Amino acid sequence: MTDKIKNLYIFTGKGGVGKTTLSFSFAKYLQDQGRKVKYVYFESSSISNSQSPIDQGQELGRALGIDSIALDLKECAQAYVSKKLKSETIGKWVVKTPFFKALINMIPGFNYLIYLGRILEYLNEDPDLTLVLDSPSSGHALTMLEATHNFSEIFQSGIVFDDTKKMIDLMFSENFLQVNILTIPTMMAVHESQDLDNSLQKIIQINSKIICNNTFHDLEGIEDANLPDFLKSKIENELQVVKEHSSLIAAYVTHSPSISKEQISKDLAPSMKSLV
Amino acid sequence: MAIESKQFEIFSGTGGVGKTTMATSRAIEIANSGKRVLLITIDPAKRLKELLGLNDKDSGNAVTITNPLELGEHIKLDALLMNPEETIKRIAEQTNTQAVAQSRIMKILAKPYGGLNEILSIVELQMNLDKNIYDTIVLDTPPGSHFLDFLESVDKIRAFFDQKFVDIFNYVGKKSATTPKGTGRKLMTMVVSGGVKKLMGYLQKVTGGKFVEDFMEAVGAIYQSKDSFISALNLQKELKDHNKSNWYLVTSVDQNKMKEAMDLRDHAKDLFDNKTYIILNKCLNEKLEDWKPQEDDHLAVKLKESFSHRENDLKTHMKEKFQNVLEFSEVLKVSPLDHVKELITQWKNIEQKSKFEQGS
Repeated sequence: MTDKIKNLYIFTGKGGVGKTTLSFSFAKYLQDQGRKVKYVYFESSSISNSQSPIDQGQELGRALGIDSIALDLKECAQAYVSKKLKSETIGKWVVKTPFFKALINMIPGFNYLIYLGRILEYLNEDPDLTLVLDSPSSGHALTMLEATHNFSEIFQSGIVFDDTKKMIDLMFSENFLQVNILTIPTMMAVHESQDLDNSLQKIIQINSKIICNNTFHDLEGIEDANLPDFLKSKIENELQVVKEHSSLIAAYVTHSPSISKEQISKDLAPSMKSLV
Repeated sequence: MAIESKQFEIFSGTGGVGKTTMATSRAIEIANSGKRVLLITIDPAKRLKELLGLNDKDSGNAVTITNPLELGEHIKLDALLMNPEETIKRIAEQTNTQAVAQSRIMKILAKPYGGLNEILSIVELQMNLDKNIYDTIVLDTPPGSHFLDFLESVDKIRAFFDQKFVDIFNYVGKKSATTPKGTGRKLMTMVVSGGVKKLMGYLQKVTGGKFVEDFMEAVGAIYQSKDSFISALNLQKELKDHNKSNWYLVTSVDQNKMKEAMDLRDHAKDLFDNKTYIILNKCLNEKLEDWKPQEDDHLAVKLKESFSHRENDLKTHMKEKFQNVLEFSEVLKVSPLDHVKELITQWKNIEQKSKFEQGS
C-alpha cells in the first residue's frame, strides 16, 4: 500500500462513529501538511422546495479554517444538464419541470450520480486539490458507490452513458480514491464495518481502510488512572476487539477528552497520518 | 410507569444512538403484554438480523420470531427487514401485472442498495396494515437526514402519480395498458405545459434512444401498479394522529449530536410536537455521580469532567425543548441479547421527565 495522498477520501461508517469530526480532523491534517484540501458534504438528498438544509458542520469548518463545499442537488443537476445541452436557460428549465423533480426524487441513486459527477468535476478542474467527503452512513454510501455501475447499466448508450463510464474510469484509477470506513471499538460495530467493506469490495476493488475511532485503551496514562467500573469494562471490551480484529483494523484514533467539537478535531488532527 | 402502546410506534434519530435496539426492545415489550406486533426496519445496517437470529433469505418478508430472546412462546412478534425487490414483487402481485417486476430499469433499482428503500417502506407499511392482523407496527426508520427522505416519500409518491403525469405518460409512452382519459387538444396542451415532450426530446439527446424507450416502459409499468403506491398516501394522516401513533426521537449522551437532533425536529415540525418522546440513550446517571476521582489523578478528573459535561448539557437542553423526555441508562452487557433484555426492563419502568414536572 502506498502512502501517496489521494484525490478523494470518502469517510463513511454507521451513524455516530465520528464521520464529521474525523473528516474535519483529516482535512486539517492535510492542510497542515501544506496540501490544498476542501471538506465536502451533501446538503440534501432530494430537491425540496421549503426546507433549509441540514448544516453538517460549516461552522466547524470556519472555526478550523477549512473550506467547505455544500453540494446542492438542484444546482448540481442544473449545471450538468446546462453543460450537456449547451444552454443554461434550457438547463434551468429542465430542472424546474415538476416531472424532472418528481423523477429525481423517486430515484435516490440518481442524486448520488449527480453529486459524484460534480465532485469529479472539481477534481478534474484542479489536480492539486484533495476533497474529503463526509459521506452518508453505510447503506447510503453503498448506494452512492454503486450508482455509477447501476446507471451505466441503465443507460447503455448516449452522452450520460459515456460520462458515467468516464466517472468509473477516474474513480477507480490508481491512487485516486480511498474509502475510510469508521467504526467504534465494539464487536458489533466492527462486524458491521467489515460487512460494509465486503459489500464495497463486491462492487469493485476499492481502496479501503477500516478505522477504529474513539478508543480509550491507548489513552496516555490510562493504566495509572483510577477508573470507575463502566470505563473499566468499556476498555476490557475494547481490548477484546483489538485482540480479535487486529488484522482488520488499519488504524486506531484515540478518544479526545476535550469538550468542544473544534478542540476535538484539533486534538485528533496530528494522529490522522495513518488515515492517508 | 410504562408508556401506552399505539397502533404505530415510530423510531427516528441521529445514527448510531441505538435506535434499532431501542425499537426492537420496545416491540418485544409490547408483544410481551399479549399484543400482536410487527417490527419493520429500513435501516440498511440490518442489525435486527443479528438481534433476532434472522437469515438473509428472510429479508423482505414478515417472519414470525419464535420465542424471541427466549422470553416465552406466548409472544407474537413478526419482523420484516425491508428488501425493495420483494416489495416490488408484492406490488406486482397485488396489482395483477408483472410489468413493474420485469422492467429492466426497475430490476436494477430494486437491488438492495439501488436507493428505493425509503419510498418502498411506506408502501410496505400500508400493505402490512391492510393485512389487519397486527395490533401494533413498530417502525425503525433510517438514520439522520435519511429519515427526512422517508418522511418526504409520501409527497414524492404523490408528485410522481399526479394525474397530469399519468395522462401525459399514457399519451407519450403509448405503452400503458389503460387508455388516456383526455384526448386531442386538451391532452396536447397538458403535454406542452407539463413540458414532458420537450423534456423527452432533450433526454433522448443526452441519454440515447434505448434508455428513453426503457425508461418509458418503466414509468408505464409503475403507473400500471400505481394503486399500490397511491393506497400508501392515506398513511400520512394516520401517522400524524397522536391517538394512533407514538413518535420517538432517539439521541444518545455519548455523542455530540444535539444539533442534529434539533435539526431533525425542525425539519419535521408538524410531526415532532409536544407529544413526541425524546429518548436520551446511554445515560450514565449514578455511574457518574458515584465516580469520585482523586484530585491528582489528572486524566480521571478530565475524563469525568468531559463525560459529565456532555451528559448534563444534553439533558438540560432536551428538557427545555421537549415535554416528554425518557432517560435510558447505559447498558454494559456485551451480548446483544442481554442488552435488549435489559432495555425491555427499562421500558417497563420508564418515567417521563420534563421541566414541567420538575418545576411543579
